[in-house]
Amino acid sequence: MIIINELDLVLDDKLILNNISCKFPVSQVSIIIGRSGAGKSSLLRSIIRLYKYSGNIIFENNDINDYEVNILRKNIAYVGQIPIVFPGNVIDNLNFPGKKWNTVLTSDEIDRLLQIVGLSSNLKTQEASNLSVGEKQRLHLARALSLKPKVLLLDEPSSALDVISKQNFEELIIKLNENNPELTIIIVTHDLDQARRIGEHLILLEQGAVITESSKQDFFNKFISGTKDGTMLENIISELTGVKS
Amino acid sequence: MILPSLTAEDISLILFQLLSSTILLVIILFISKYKALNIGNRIITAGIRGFLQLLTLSLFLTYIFSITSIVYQFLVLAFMIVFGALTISKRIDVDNIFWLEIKALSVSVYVVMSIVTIIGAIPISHPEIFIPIGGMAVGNAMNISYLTLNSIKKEIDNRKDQIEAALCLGFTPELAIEELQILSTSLSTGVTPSMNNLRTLGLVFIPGLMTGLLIGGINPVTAAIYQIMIFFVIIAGGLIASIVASKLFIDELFDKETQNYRY
Ligand SMILES: Nc1ncnc2c1ncn2[C@@H]1O[C@H](COP(=O)(O)OP(=O)(O)OP(=O)(O)O)[C@@H](O)[C@H]1O
Ligand SMILES: [Mg+2]
Repeated sequence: MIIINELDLVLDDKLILNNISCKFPVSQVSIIIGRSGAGKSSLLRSIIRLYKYSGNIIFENNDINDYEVNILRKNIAYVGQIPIVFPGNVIDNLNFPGKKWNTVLTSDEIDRLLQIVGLSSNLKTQEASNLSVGEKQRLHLARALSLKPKVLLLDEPSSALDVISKQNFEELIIKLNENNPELTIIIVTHDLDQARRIGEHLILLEQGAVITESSKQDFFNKFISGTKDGTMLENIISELTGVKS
Repeated sequence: MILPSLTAEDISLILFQLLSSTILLVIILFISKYKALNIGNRIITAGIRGFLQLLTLSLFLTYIFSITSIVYQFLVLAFMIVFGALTISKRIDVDNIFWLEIKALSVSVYVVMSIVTIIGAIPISHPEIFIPIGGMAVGNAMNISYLTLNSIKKEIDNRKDQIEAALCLGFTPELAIEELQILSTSLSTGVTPSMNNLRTLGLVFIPGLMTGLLIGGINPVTAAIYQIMIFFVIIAGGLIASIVASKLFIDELFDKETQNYRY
């Protein structure tokens, strides 16, 4: 469980996050949805203490400032918006975290990680920098999973993918959640249809503030009559804020 | 007057040297303008400064060389270190760069110079040898550590994303920089010019000190061994300065609390 209490974040003298309070239930998939610039990435980055904020973030009943920052980042994995690979091949990339944590993956573990993220084992010895963007994204995720985190923060994990790969990626997340009951997953997206397909808990961010937090079911029942696709996020936001966008 | 009087021969030599300098300066200015290098003003100020500094040095040299106390000689080195650190602090725009270079240059120069004087390779009773060699140690430690820090900063700027990805896996900035081979690449960038000099030693590059020793009538074998030792002084000193400076530099580049890159 992650609980956020009255979080303010100021970057370059700009108020980026404004009095955020919300929670992310343990072992569920939570969705943070919001338009571009709403502060979704900034919120995830605050949770792994890449920024100095005011307010509290509680992880497993302790303030995250009480953890050594490196330990915190081992337990809460963050997969950023742009996939990043390190020099070397796919295996080198999967073994990179071990250089900090003194672990070496067995070849079974490597195969298992590749299988979880849906990367072909033919790619094992391929230079990571030559992978396609979608493959890099999967590798980035596999590398994060190699540390067996308790929480997984995914920042628009499928933004670079086409529709089919996007749905494959969503299936991957759903399976990950089913197979790892202990794992809490937080996914950032600006795609209402994606939010409809995955996740149980939903937080809507607008201009650095939480404007709705509820179970996903309640959210869709309340704001979208029936199950038709195509309702715009903009409409929901203007209904909630009373401001026409 | 401290200045010795000039003979007619001296004067004509000075004129020829001024003339040559002018011709070479014109070539430099021409290239600078033609290739838009923007070094025109800098080279002129550097030239004038260099001349004035050397002139002052010559005037003080007689005095400095009369100082045989070891404490004073190490104080002269301290003076050089301050100016070395000042020079770098104007070239790299990072907080506390002056103080971290003071520390790095001091550790490097005092360690290396203590080794050679304690062993007796450089006679402390001969400031006319100790001071110029100390100056070489400071100057080269300054250059080498500057190249190293500059390369570290550039590599980090180019690979911010990878560093952040490593931080997100729980790496400390130091470890991220080491494991991404930024430190080793930069250390090698720092010493490469000096290593190149070492490799061409005697073939392309005839070092000033050895020339001086030979002119002074010293046995060529002695002069050669002397020169090799100087090279090790330079490279060992450069590496020590670079390593100390990098450590402090990396501490400065990253926030203590978030470990995030600050520049
Ligand atoms: N380091 C920073 N310094 C100053 N402003 C920043 C910084 N990082 C982000 N911002 C600003 O904070 C706001 C929120 O940015 P953030 O990246 O969190 O948005 P987002 O919701 O993730 O958007 P997107 O969907 O486009 O990724 C933006 O206006 C952005 O310009
Ligand atoms: Mg974002």
